[in-house]
Amino acid sequence: MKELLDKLGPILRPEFTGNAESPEIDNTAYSPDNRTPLLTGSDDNTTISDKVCQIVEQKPTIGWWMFFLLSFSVLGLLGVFVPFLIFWGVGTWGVNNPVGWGYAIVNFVFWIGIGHAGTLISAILFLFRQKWRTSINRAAEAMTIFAVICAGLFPGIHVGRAWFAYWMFPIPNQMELWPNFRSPLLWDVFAVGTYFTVSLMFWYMGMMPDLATLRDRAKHPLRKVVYGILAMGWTGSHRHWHVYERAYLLLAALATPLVLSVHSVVSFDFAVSQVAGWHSTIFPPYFVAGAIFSGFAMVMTLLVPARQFFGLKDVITLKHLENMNKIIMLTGMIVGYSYAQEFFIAWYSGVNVEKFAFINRAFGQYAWAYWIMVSCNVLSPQIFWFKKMRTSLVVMFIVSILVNIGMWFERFVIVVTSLANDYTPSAWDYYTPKLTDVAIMLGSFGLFFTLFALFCRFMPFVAMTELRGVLAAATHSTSTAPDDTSGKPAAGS
Amino acid sequence: MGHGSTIDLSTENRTLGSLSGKLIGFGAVLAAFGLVGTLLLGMLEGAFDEAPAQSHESAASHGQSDPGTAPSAAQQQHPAAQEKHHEVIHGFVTEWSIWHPYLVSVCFFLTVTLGALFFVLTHHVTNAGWSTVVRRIAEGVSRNVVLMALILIPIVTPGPMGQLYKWFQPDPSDEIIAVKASYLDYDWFLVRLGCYFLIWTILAWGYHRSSVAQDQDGDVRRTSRMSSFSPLGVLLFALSITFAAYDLLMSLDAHWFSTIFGVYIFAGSVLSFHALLALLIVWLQANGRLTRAITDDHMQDIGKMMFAFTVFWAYIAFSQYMLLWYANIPEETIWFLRRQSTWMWGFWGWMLIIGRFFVPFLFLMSRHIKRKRLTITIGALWMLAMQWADMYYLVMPQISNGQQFPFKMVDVTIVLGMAGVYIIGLALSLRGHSLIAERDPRMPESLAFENA
Repeated sequence: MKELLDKLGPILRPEFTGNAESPEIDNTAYSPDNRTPLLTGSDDNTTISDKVCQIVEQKPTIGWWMFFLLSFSVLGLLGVFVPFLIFWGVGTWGVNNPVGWGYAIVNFVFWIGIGHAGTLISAILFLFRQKWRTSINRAAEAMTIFAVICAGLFPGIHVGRAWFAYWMFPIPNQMELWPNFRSPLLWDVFAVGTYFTVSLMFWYMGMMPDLATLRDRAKHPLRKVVYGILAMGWTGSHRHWHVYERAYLLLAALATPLVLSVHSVVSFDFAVSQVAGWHSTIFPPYFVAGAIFSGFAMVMTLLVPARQFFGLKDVITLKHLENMNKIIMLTGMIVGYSYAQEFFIAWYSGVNVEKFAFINRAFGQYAWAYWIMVSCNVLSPQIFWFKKMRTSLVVMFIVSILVNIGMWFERFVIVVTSLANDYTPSAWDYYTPKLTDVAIMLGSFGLFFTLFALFCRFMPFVAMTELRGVLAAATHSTSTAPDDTSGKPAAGS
Repeated sequence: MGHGSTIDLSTENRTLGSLSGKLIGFGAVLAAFGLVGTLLLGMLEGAFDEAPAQSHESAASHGQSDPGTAPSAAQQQHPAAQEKHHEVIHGFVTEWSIWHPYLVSVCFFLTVTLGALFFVLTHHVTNAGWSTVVRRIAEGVSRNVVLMALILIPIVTPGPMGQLYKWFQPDPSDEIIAVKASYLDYDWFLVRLGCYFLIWTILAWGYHRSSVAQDQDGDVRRTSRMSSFSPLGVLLFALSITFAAYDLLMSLDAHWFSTIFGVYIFAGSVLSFHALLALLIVWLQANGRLTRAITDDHMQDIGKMMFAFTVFWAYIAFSQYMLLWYANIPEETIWFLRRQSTWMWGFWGWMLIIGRFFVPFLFLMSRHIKRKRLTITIGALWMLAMQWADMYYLVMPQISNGQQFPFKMVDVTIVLGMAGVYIIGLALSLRGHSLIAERDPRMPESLAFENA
């Protein structure tokens, strides 16, 4: 893959030929008495801005157009199949009598999970003073927001009568009809809504100084106006920075519980029930770990090619990728721990239906899905025990895709196996998705990648101002311009 | 991370020195007081009376109008069995014995000790900088795991086992215990406990030894080695603390199960260790040790970890309670029902909710609270008391199926006595070498650490 990317690099992005061919600098060397620098290039405050801004300022390359058009045409599937679904109703899905929840909920949970890396990176890693977050946080936060948008699509269409989707919200009405406040599905509406709002605010607020940079560099008057509006009058005064940094810290503290709460509430959708295989007390932390796991895998899937195409190899360095692989490995093992505990307690409980649910998962009619899940989620990240593997672009790219597949199948296994073989054997059935299910799932990927392509094109891909803080620390340079004093406040309350 | 002026460690009083004698003396007095108190009060309170035979128990609880005594799962699953047995078969021992408070106390000190081991492992696995100055104290505390193994031995002898764990001598008609008899088996239980303590001892002593050896030779490769072994250490730690929690605490009610139980114990464990760490630092500094090496900034970070794990504990506790409450399956809810059927246990539960979450959540939020020695001491003592209360809540309500509140003075004297022994262990573990990892390559970074 790396060779392939290197070969394709000059064709797809001629202006960066030099950079694409530059050797990968290994800054992952571990030395206990010396912190290795996070950035490998010889960039200073100005060249960093040049490097990041030119992604947006130069004409889009063929590579970008290809990626965008491909994503956009896959997005077209949504344009066809969502109206089709709304017109004909959910009967066009493969759901059947015991399996009332099919692809729609699987995709919803999958996308919500993906949307966990960004806020973890921007909030929790910020509080833990992990400076390496600065190179990847912007792209990861953007990805988070797009993933939550994809997730939000599914409740909107799976209600059957999409024109009543607003009934999900508790809106006072003459009929005095209310959603069930005791239902975790309603809590989802609040949890996901809050998460989306806060993530968006966090992302946007963090971007303002960079948008101002783009505004100041803009040549075209239209560009100046648009970025000017988006930058909301940012001048980089001391007062602005002061308010900005306080707000950033506060938002980080507020967003941290959200990282835990959203997927916990999603796990409640299953765990509050009495369905065997769903009702397990470890579900909330287990889902959160799985969400971070899949989110980081998606960030990896996006960033490994992106750093190549945009010439950001010395900004998003091997060290960053290695750290992300370590988090993938950790969360993958937490997920593995949870699978093991569920299995053990199902046996230990002595409850026959629980025992059956888990043996059926592993050896029943969906055993293929179960073993895909286990091998992708638990086994494949184990390769990261070896440093050579976690610093290899090829390996990490493949593992990240495997993890994405595995985490999609995890939700499939949880949702489908428990429903297909529940308490009434006479009602058991096998769930097979139909064309509409698959098309809408693919369409949601199209939506995700289209949004991401647009983000790469129009927004600052890397948090330039935050990078300057790391840059200053790496080169021990003291900057005098107020714009450059962006060493963020470390965690503290 | 700021760049404060680096302190010259050689000007610092950084060994326990004469304090170890004082500590041992104090520990011995406390242990003796605890022992004598337990004996005297125990005799007054009838703690040493011959325990009634366990094989035909449950006279105390059945027959009462007892909301906690829901039909057991065995009867629900096997209607045929229901006809045969009209009495309720419990998976737990309902009579109080002196070993119940003893187990509470063991679990309290064991969880604190394991929290220290986790602290050391996390330090290495994350290549942390700030915590280097306090790591040696954590290493010292973690070595007490050997002491805990010795203290645990009386419990795992046949007599006390029968008085604590129903599965040790199960009711022959108890079909639920019969299903898991291959796991809840005395020999296998001993083997497992042996494995856990072996893992913990190897980790705790290994890390301590390597760290102390570095004081002499200053070899940075030791840090690399400790770091590269730590992921495996964390993995072993996670599995061992989980199954130890199942074996020692969850199996007290052999019918009940909860997949999050290991995580719950882990949360309390790490939380209470940070409290003990704060206390030890305050005490050492009050006696002129490490007065400049460990700063307000380090205290603030320890306080932050206490705050974080306070929230994490609440999150885990809420998850467990809410999911069991919502699904309302009798074989699961009975565990909480027992803890809510009398006002005193209900009060105890509320005390944990308020005292272990809301109060410290608000208290520890301010940076000044975390930095001032007096306030962090109050917070740390409070959190340790709450950890004890939590262990009490996990062990005691089985007695009389939650119908009594079995508090006795020996509950307190046993903790005090064990604290005395624990303090002696600490003194032995911390003396004879520096209180700080002197030549750790990241010491300058840690000394210069500032919480901006």
